Amino acid sequence: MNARDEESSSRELKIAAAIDDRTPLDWENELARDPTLAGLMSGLRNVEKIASAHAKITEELVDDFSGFIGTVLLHYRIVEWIGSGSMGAVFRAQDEHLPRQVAIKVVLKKSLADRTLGEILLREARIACSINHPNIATVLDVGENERCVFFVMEFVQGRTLAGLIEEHPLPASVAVEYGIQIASAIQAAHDAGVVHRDLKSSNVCVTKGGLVKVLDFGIAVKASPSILVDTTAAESTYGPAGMTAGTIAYMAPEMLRGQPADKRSDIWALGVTLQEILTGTRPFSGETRTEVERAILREDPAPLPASIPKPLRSVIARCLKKDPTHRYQHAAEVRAALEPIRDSPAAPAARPRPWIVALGLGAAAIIAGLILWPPSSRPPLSPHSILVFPSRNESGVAEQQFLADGLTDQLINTFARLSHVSVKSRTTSYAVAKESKPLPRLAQEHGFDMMLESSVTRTADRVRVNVQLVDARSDRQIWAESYERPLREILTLDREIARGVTGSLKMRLTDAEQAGLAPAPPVDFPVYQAYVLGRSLKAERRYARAIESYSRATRLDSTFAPAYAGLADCYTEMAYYRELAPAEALSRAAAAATRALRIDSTQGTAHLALAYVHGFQMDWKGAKAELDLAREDEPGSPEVWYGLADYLGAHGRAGEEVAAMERAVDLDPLSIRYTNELGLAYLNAGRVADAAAQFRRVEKDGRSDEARRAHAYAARCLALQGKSEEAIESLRPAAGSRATPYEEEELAYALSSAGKKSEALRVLARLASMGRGIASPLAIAAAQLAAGEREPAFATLSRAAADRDPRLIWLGVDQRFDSIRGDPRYAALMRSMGLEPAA
Amino acid sequence: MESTTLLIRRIWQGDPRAREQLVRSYFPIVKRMAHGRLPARARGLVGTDDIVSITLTKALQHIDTFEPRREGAFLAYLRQILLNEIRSQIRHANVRPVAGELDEDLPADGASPLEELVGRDLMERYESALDQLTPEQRQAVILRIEMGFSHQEVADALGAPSPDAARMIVARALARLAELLSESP
Repeated sequence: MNARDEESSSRELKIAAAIDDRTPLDWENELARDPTLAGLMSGLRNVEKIASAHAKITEELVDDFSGFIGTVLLHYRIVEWIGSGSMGAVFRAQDEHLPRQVAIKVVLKKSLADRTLGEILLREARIACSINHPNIATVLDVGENERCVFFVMEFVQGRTLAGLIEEHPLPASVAVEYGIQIASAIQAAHDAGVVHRDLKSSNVCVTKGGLVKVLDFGIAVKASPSILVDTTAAESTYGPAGMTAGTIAYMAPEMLRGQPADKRSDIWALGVTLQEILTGTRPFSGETRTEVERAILREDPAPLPASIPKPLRSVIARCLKKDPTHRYQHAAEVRAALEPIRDSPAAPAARPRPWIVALGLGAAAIIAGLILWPPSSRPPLSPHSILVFPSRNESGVAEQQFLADGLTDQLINTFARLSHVSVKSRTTSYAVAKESKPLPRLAQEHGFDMMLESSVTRTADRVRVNVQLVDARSDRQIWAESYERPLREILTLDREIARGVTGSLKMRLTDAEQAGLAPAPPVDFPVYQAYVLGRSLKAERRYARAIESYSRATRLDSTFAPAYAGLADCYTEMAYYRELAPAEALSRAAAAATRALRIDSTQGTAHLALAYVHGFQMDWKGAKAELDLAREDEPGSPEVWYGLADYLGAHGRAGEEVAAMERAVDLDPLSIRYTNELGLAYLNAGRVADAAAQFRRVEKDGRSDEARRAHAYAARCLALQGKSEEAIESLRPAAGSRATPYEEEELAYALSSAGKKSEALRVLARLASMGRGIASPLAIAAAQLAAGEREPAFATLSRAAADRDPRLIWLGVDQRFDSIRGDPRYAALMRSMGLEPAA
Repeated sequence: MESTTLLIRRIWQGDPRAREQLVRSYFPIVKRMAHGRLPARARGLVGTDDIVSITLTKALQHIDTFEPRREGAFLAYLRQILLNEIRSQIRHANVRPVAGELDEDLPADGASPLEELVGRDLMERYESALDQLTPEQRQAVILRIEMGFSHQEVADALGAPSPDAARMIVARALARLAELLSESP
């Protein structure tokens, strides 16, 4: 580098440093001093441009936004900036008098062209404060200080209609539903003497529950001042010239002509919005403002596709009549015209539930092993039968799906604790969510009369939940609410929601139930995360990993009772499915359950686990006591009813067993495991045909484990009905597939019943070769008995009793053993299990 | 602020509190970055916060594979994820081209506030010029020009010995950037 180059380079650096320090530069002068910079000058200018732009943005942020954060306007503490428009910014704020969030729209006085406008805005907003309607984001307060004018509004979480439409146009049914809600909002405002004047899709917000909220009533600051002035008869020099094309697209012809806006201008805007919802485009468009104006004034609206129901097209056409006297004169008329379209039988499927098919992976994993048959229409069990629709993860991040799944589970569990509510189980909820049928039909088919929908978002260390309770038969909203809490209080959210729901239904709660809905102790997020993961792993029967997750939760927080209860639950199931030696599994289950109950005596899952521990140990008194406690804690839990059914069956009370199992199935009608168990309960009660019907339903699930189990039991029904040959035929394994132990067990029984003893013995030998503990001793003994092998049958049963095989507890009710009830060895076996032998 | 490198180490070791702390520390910074980059059209009612959340979550998802030697590198990494996220949001918003042109407050193509100020073309050239800088220079530009860090802060983030050293790195980075952004070949 020569001296000149060096000099130039150092000058260049100096300029760069000046840019860096934001020292104003005289470019001409710099160039005059060093002509060699000419080539680089444009680049330096560009760098300066970029640096200034960044600085400007940062300054804006500091000036207009950060300055407000943390300050208090009236009694609202500004928490965070939400968004900005041309004249002001919107903040989220905390009401310091009431426990609620609000949105505050701040309009800086410097951006108001003159004081009159500020006064008009305030006057309008004060009127708007008097409007109270569910479809209007209520203006709660207004005020001003030396810097700004501000409007305090209800905090609405959701998406603007404009944003939704941008993704894709919405179906006619949705447009109608939204149209009705917007029309209701407009009517309420008009009744209060407030005209919106700036209704458009970006001023309409839809909560995730499908509730429409019209924003900015009375505070449409972006509307032309002249329009605002029209109703106040003040003079103004402003005209529509200052407006942007975006707003013009919604303007009625009379407004473009400079005439005053009135109610009918809002009706025009509603027509524009409806067409936009349906087609994704506005009825009057153009490349430039002039073109749009010309279209509005002279042209017909863009035609709507013929696929849109004719009555709906007519409603929109009438909203868009150029002459205001030819339009609907009141928003109530629009609503009245839309309602029959919604309620007509030909109307397309129900309500907007865009996420009904869009559940995340977490949900899919949980419902593995489900069957979707058309269930019989059952009347709801309790006065209030609720389906908790799987909560929607609104964060857009798959990783946070577990938050939504966790909330769904929590809500189901919490409602299961209430005696006047019958809540559908998790299996049913996730299965219903996969069906794309109108809600009233789903409600009828699955026997629920209300649906609770929710969505979850997490921002940093807070969690937001929107909920809506819907009357499932009419598809109308009963109640809606938004909650926002620190993440640590996530376990309290479901209880708060339950309080909201029971309150809205004016439900009477017992003292114990009320206590159960009191705030839960706070939980650290990682603990909660580990716990929820454990729960979903357990639902997938991945016990080892579930235990790992629950243990992590207890390590992080040794006072977190639900995780201990979860551990107990895992161990009892492992004992049942023989994934761990029962003695070891049960002692671990007992330890975990005891620990859980020491921390929180109302952990129903822990009581249930202890009931199983006692049951496996043939301590029936202990089992019953724990079952009663579990029922007290969670009267609506299908698991508890299933546990009770087991207890009743073991005690030979087959009729009651059926009733308890029916209750479990009612609570969880889509659980194929319970349906199979109900079939077995029917068999115990001697109701073979009813049993066969249950098994046939489950068989439709194809190749799942439970379906193959059902297939095997169906064959037993045939054998019991004297159709052994048919049973044998049905159990012949399909080419290339291996029989399951269940199928082999039933094949042995069918062969024995058909008198094919040697074949039956061959099958039994195969079963024995599968290893101890695999085949059910009860099934083997039943086949041996049917083959006339009474002594070996007793030997099998005695061995199982010595092993404390839990499957033996059905001995008292299983009709395949009716022939040995008189044998003293049968009575001895029963007594060895602590059970009274049946007569 | 606890050293970012240390926080990331703790995250590697499975300390969930470190995760939370990282998110808390970087949320406002990423939000500031997002503010100038996100066209109003791609921004919903709560869009900015959501995008910031998504950015941080994605960053944490891949934190195992990321080894920052300095905070500056981590910020550049966050910025890249943020820009990708914003791009995908814009793609999403562009599904409806016709009516979008009439949206209020927005230039025809849904430009970001920065693009509005300097023009889309220059912003694109700037982004590609940034790519051609050395990592240290790139980080210096982001920290100083985009984030408005003081020279002391830039020095800390880059591991430079003094504010003056940071000043020098920034000036050199800007000079190089100018070269890349010159109109003449």
